[in-house]
Amino acid sequence: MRNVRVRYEKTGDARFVSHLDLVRTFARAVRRADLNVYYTEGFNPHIKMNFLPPLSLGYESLCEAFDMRLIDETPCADVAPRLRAVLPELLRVTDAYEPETELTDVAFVRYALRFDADVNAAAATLGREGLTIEKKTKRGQITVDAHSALREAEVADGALEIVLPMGEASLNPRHVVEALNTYGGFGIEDFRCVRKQLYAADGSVFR
Amino acid sequence: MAYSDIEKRLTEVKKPSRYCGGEVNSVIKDPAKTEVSYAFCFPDLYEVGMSHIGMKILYSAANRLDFVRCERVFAPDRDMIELMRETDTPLFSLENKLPVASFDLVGFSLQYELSYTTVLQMLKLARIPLYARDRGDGDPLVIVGGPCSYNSEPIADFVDLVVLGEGEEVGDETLELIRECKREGCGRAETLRRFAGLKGIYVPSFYDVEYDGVKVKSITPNRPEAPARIRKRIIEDLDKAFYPESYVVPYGEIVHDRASVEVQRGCIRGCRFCQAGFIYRPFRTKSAATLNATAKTLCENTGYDELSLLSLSTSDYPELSGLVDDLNAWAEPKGINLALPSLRVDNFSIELMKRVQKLRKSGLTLAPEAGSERMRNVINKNVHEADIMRAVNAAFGGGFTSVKLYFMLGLPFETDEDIIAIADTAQKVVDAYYASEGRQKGKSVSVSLSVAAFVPKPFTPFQYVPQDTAEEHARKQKLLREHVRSNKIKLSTHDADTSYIEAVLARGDRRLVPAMALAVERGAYLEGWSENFSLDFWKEIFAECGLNGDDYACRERGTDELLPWSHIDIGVTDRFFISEYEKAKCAAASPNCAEKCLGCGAASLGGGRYCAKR
Ligand code: SF4
Repeated sequence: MRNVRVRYEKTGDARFVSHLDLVRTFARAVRRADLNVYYTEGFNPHIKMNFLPPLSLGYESLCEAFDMRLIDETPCADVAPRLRAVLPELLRVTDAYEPETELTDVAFVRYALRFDADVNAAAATLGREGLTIEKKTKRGQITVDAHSALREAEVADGALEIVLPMGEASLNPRHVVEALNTYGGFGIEDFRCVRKQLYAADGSVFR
Repeated sequence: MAYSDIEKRLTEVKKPSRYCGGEVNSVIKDPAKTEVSYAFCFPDLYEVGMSHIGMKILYSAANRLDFVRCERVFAPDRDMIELMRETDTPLFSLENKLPVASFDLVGFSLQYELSYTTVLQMLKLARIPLYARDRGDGDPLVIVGGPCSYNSEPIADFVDLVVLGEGEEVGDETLELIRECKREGCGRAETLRRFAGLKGIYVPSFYDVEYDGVKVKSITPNRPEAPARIRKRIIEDLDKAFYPESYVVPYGEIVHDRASVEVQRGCIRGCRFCQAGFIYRPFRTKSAATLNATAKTLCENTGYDELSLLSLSTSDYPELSGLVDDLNAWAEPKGINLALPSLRVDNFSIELMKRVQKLRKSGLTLAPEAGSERMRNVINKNVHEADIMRAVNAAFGGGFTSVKLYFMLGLPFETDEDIIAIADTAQKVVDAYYASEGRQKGKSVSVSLSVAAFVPKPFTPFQYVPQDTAEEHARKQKLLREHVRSNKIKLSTHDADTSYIEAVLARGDRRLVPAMALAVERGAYLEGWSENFSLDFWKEIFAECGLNGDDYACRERGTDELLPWSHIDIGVTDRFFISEYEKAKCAAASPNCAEKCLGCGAASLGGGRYCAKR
């Protein structure tokens, strides 16, 4: 039995597909692709799959991932084309390989944000010392120092690109937009967000 | 004004993916490369519509034609309607997100009477003129089909075309005729004229209906092209009928989330209350080989892990046992469950249940429909108490602890004894559990007793009978409740209010047209969902339109009366309905088609497995 990591994109209207529905969709895709994978034991067996923390509804991504286990000798290289053939273009499988890391090793995520406001000014605002980001959690509100939380804030291709922590101290791009509105008066009502890259703790691209 | 405005705010609504399309196996064609566009609408929420097998078949069938672009449309939920209003967006299709009003043909599937107002509301959301007479050359043709289209008179003024019968062939011909009319630049009037010549198509505006009080006086064609009676279309050889090899697999969970194959059409039984049992006559089957192959391909292409065999009465499929073996041979190793809904009590086989439901042990469901032997003869439901007891005993012995029983209240010629017999039957099931040797020790039994109000339907032997008045129904419910004594029996009574409106609409005529328009103006929508339904609302509407619902629901029709649907020919003759009605009066059962052909008339449609040659 080998682990295989499937990398995929979630773009366009697929951003409105909830995480739960996505899991169901991939499980059916695995069946359509006739891949021999490991099922959980028990009364109601289902494919054993591990996903990255859910992407917010409405966000796109170019770097999603889930892990499952192959129980036969199917080469990992065959997995991506077989899944690609049975999924819509908006859920495009880009790669599949035997992982050397855990999905929980993802430490930072790069997002690209597009909105109707001055992106350069937004990047500059986020670069200022002393800016705080507020995040509501189940245990109340947490205030994070933007400077330490934001690994990067820059403008690329007309979008604001930011790098945020994932995992325990994770931040959602929404929190950053709220901070921009609160402290910068940007008045951003809606924005498009794309998850672009995953990084390990040492800053290298996560695989 | 367009989908792009909605898109920005789509995360504000519940389950946004149901408005986006793009699911696996959906078909997105280029509007510039297709000659005929068809908006296939289902007047209910996405989850309900996508569960409907007919929709899946006809969507695939239409899209297999190169010149056709068929796109799906479902009734938006209230929050989405609000968003559409705020962004000034008309109803749009899932595939290309195009306004429904921009399509050549806009079709609705009429599955139940309470969806009529949703159909009309969707036309309004699409900004298509509500009345057919107000539509011009640039507006779509509005077509309806499905079981309720056999008597769609209450909405006759709002539709251009009605499909009578099975849609596979007539669907192709409809789309071809639209292409022809477009190529020749025919106007609306000429297009309708040509449609009147198509077999299985009814053009309501080509008929004038005169009334004499609450009765129909005459139904007269007002065009030479319009036939005096319109005959339904059927597919004679189901093995040759189109069946999709794959179908759209939704992202979200829907009501029936599984692969399904249709094993047969029609029903041999002839239960006298059941409209489906007559409108789908004659009984035709698919070969086991075809079914096995279709089911396998379908599972491979959809990835579903549940396969369902669909029909009105699956036990009547002549090769059922062999088919189940064939299916299980490949389904089981792949972890695919077989579901066999609509098994009958009389030839019910617990063995079969065990074979197909190894993995998931659900409760047993039985539908005796009536409580006493006499009453079951009246309705021609050939189920005997011994059959019921044999089935529940086998189930309890096999470890089941719950049984669902379905009955109807208010059936014709019903007496209080017949009602008490419903409670008695449920009690006998409870007693059987405690007498059962194999039951799970220490576990209690649960019998859920579901009792619906009888709705007399057109095209049945009971099309003449009155529905119980509200008072009488309430009295009967109370009587039944008094006779349910065990706390193991959970009695639930189906809402009699909705059954009343169903009864009005089912046997309605064109005098109801203004009432439908007014109801829609006042916001009636998605009435199949109980939270959206109100009887008082309808009573007010009827009163304002000078109508009395009782004239439709509770009035007995004479067998010599001209009925609002007399110009519709489903193959089964009035003579047959009357003779079955007479037999019901003296509680006489009839043999089923497999036992003896009664010459109901449907043989003339061809293809019937048991029909005697005339
Ligand atoms: S013609 Fe005879 S066998 Fe055929 S549907 Fe009618 S009663 Fe049944």
